Amino acid sequence: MTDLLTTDATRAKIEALSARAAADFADEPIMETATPRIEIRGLNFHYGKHQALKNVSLDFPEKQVTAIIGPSGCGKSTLLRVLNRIYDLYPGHAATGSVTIDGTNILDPKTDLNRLRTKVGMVFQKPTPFPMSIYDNVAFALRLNTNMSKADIDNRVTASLQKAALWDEVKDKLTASGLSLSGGQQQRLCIARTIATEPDVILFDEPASALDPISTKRVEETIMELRKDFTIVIVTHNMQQAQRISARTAFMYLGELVEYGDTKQIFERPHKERTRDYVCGRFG
Amino acid sequence: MSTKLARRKLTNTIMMGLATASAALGMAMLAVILLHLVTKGASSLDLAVFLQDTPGPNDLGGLRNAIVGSLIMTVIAMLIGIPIGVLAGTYLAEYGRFSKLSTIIRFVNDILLSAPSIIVGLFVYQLMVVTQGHFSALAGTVALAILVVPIVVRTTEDVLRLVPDTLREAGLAVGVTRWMVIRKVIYTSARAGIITGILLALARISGETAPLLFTALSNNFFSLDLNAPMASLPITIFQFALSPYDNWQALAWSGALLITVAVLALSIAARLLTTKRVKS
Repeated sequence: MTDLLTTDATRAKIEALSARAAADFADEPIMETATPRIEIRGLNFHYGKHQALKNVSLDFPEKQVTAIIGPSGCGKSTLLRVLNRIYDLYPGHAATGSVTIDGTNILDPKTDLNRLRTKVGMVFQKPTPFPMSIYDNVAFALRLNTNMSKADIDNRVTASLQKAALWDEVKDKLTASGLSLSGGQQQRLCIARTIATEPDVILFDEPASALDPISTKRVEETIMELRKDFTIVIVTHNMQQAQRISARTAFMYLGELVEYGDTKQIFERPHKERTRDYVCGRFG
Repeated sequence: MSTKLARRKLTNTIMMGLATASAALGMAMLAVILLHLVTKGASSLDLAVFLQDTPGPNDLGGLRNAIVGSLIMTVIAMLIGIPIGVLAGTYLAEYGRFSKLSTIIRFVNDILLSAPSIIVGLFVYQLMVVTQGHFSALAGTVALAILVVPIVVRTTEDVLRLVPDTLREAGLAVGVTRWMVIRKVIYTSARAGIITGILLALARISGETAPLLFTALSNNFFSLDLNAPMASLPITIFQFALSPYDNWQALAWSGALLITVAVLALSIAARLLTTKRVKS
């Protein structure tokens, strides 16, 4: 027995196991110390006359994954679309209340939207590669918004594609069209494009719902990797996905925030009956 | 049950037959016109057509002044009309998509689109020829440009609207300005459609006669002066085809063939260019 323990192979195995246990422990959400990156207070949102968000208040902690779940039409995507003010594209869409990111209320009409969106990136439900090369997709915003040199852009493009776990698949065809990639690859290209501008926050709007299971797994792995550097808010229909990747979960229903807490608690010991019904699949 | 099915099958066969016959009839008419044009036009198409100016009755000559005049006026009209048309179409589809002004512009544009070209000619006649006191190639150019704009506005707006909003949002979401999203993402997505619209406009004005009648008039001599009357192929065809002289009639056929072949060649070239770009 003692002989067994002292063999090099066994020792290495034990070390690996304890290292993984430590890593798992590190993954546990530490709510008390996490500073809120985004503070939402009394947020209301209207599509014309229809009110899609009703007095929503919550915080998204820094460098964690927060999932927003709820049935269709509950306002979860709307909430996400407020955070980078992408709704501004359409008339009649209006938000009131306050959304504070790093001390500034982004609902202020004077907010510089281009700067906001550089800091708060977004990945959409359907992959949306721009009709240009893979390289240009990632370099697009860098070329237009920064004075980076060609060499710096090269490095940033490489790093972004690596972080998005796409580099190995595209490094030999960076000049090929972004549209030539598969759906899952396109979505990771969109992730690379988003992190290229070095945002603080990344919003994911059901990023895997248009993908096959294997692509979904890869996108989820990418998100897990990204949470070390970014504050992530993800809207998802898939409750298993929320459990797999998020530390905190918010459950919304009919435009209201019903319950918000640690993912484990929301799914295992929900306080509200409606949350329990939803996570048990009794309605959706 | 079975009689019902038999009747439906019969109706199906009849409708398919009618549709096929209609398509064949349309193609046949086009083929007859083209064949006629080629046989009549090609016989008198020689180098002199390109090197000599329009002759007097029963004299030797060509269409050089008319060809050059048409080229100059068409190119300048396109250069004026394309930017205005594309930008106005962009306003309607992008910036002013939901505004009241857009509804009005769209309505007026549709009227302009179907306005008889002779009215455009008369308008420019009043606006430029009367005030300047003489006919000019410039007036002809402006008249043609006015015909280009509504076509390009309409097609540009239509194809830009086909670009999904998700792509607009994705472009804005990386933090670049609206115009850059439009220029680099939306225009690229809609390129083939925009070029098709431009070609439609080009095809339309390269055969237009009425707007040139009271504006550029015509000129029996070679002229590059935009401030003077200028010959053009459609007007020369119009004059020569109506004349009793054989040599003029032959030249009219040659001119008609030239316009047709030029438009056809341009369409094919543009089609090839756009499809190749999209694939790569």
